[in-house]
Amino acid sequence: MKNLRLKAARAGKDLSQDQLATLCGVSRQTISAIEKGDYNPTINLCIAICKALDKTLDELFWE
Amino acid sequence: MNTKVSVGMAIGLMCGLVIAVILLKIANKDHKVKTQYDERQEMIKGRGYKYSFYTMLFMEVVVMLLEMSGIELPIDNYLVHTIAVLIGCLVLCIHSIWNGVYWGLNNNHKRYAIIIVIAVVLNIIPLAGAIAHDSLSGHGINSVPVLNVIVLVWMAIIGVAALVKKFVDSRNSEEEES
Repeated sequence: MKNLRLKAARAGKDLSQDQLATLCGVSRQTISAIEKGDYNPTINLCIAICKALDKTLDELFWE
Repeated sequence: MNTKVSVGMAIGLMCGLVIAVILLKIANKDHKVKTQYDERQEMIKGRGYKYSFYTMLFMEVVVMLLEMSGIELPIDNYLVHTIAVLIGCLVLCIHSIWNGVYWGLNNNHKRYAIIIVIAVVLNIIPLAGAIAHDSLSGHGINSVPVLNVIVLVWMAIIGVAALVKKFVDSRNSEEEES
């Protein structure tokens, strides 16, 4: 299932996938895979993404 | 293969290993030998190693059965094992490329591209030399620098896989944008 909230939050911060990936210490393809719903990140990566986008886990990852 | 050739090859391989370590240090942004991957890349590579291991196991069993049944191949025995190892590595490379794990986090893309070009040129030189000296004809397969040809074919397959993946990715991103 696509994570549209992550995509929207990233766009809201005016960040590209590449920039968010650098902030989180992962590859661009990993961010792309999370947004497409092809990969379920670990809790550590979820937290890193939330911190980079100033969002909570609930806002980005809770169903 | 006689002892002198075997010792020469072993020394060559060791020199190659040392050169590879130096090149990796130069090619990585943080000048570390080890390439760093994120959690998804590690997972995909782990799966790739598993598939690669099974492929290599299968290939070696096939080689073993061929030897047991007395079927002689037109190339040296060491080349048959080299092909088995390279096919195993090919599975890992293509699996990684197809799942978006072609670059590590600390890789400098330009430096890596230069190293790949150097590797291709180094493998073309013996083949070009054999063609220039007209030594390809008359002695059958043994007159061809087979190992270099095999490595070139191997690199070409990986290159094609990377290009196809790049094409597929660009099409997917176009579809996403529209």
